[in-house]
Amino acid sequence: MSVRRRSLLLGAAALAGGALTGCAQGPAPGGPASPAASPSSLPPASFSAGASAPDAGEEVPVPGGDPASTPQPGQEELAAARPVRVLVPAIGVDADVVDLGVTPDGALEVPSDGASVGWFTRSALPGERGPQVLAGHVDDERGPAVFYRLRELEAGAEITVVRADGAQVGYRVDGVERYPKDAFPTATVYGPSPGPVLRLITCGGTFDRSTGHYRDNTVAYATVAA
Amino acid sequence: MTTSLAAPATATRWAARPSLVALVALALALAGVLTAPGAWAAAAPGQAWVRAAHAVPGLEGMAFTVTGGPDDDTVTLVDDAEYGSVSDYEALAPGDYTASVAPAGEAEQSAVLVTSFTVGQSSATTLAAIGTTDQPRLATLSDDLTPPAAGTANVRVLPAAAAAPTVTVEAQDGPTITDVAVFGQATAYAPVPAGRWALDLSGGRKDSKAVVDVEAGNVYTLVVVDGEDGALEVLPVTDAAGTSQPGAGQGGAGGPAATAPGAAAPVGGVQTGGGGTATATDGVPPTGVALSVGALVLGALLVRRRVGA
Repeated sequence: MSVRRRSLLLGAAALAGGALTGCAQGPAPGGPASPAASPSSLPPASFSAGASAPDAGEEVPVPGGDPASTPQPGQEELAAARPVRVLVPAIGVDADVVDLGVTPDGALEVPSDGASVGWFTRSALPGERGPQVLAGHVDDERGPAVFYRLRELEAGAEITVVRADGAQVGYRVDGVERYPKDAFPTATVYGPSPGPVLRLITCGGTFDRSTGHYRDNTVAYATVAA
Repeated sequence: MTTSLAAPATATRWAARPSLVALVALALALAGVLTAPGAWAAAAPGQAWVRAAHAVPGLEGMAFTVTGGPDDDTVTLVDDAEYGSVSDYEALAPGDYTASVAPAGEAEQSAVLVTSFTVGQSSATTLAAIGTTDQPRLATLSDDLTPPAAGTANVRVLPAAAAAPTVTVEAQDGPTITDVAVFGQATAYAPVPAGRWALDLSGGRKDSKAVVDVEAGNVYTLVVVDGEDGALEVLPVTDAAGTSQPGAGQGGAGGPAATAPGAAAPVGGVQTGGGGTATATDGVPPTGVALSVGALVLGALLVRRRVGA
């Protein structure tokens, strides 16, 4: 076998192998990853087709002052401003919001059940300048979860985030993108923003049974409504 | 980002080898591009953020208006901007616009400054009236939305003080944010560790001091304006806010943050699925699979040709 032919074969094999595994996430430490909640404890996925906005609350004005000269909010203000509920009527989402941090290996935590949406606590508060990041499951082991229809969202769709103090912040969808998890655009999703923006994240693409994970992430981008 | 950079580098290195290898390398690079759209999707879907800055010393209050875009909108960014002020951002639909600056209270037709500009999705732009009253001009500044390195902010300076033809801004016991920046020209962004910084400003008729708070993950512009009696003042404005970092911003006056903050954002993708709705035909097959099959067929054909020759 000539050197040139062997190089070609290796190259073609590398191309095939690399592309085939290009979207897969490595298996989680300790064997095949398991869902955060056991199937028996999972509540049915929450779908309320005609999601209605709560009566209480009022529109939150977008911060007008310059945060560079604004004092840091106190703990009480933070507690009042944190998101507790998210509504996306176009895809039948009306879900409670829980807090998310990062796992020991630095990845974003995910909600422990399929019905809740999680807020990355180091991302922006509702209506606050910067990216607000919410993540929810596309499905669990049994069936659809809260963000099952996230991929269906279209530009212009309305999203309402309800704060702990009852105030509501409206967002409008700009677009939905899908990315391989191993090429996740961290800077695009978590990067600085001049105004209040929202990112909804779930899984997408094909399911890798060897790892127990989907290969892609679906991200919906939204901007605070004027 | 690393994925996108790695593929072309590989191709370049291999290009010096025999031509068939180069062909495969090219295919590899192509596959890398096509299977990693995220790495190339620099801009998120989103609105274009635009704001106005009045940085012409001695010029009266001005109104900043933009017209155009896909819906031919007219948006007043600010109706009476005084010298040394920066407006809030407005979210505009990406597209082509015309900006005009007119004395406050007068019609748009009496604009003294006009410029055309184009804004893309999830971009940030400052329309800055800069220069002198004799020669004012309207600059379209691109505001950087690159995530700062962990524990730092990105900071630039817009020198707009008549008292200082050039200005140097140094953080005490910290970085030099800009060295001899020219009046009316925005500097590049410099990384500054998070914390409260005492700044020394020189280049004017007298040296001046200022204090600014810098949060990790954020992006700032320091507008240097005329203060009283020939002194220089700093107007800090936030260009963009990112994800916050625990432990950042706790430094004392004149020093950087005491604790080393962690990474600005979580690593990688998010495991938000259990597979309960996945089927053998679920989802669109990755582009990579088709590419790989194509490459294998191509490889096999080329090998057959060489063997047969």
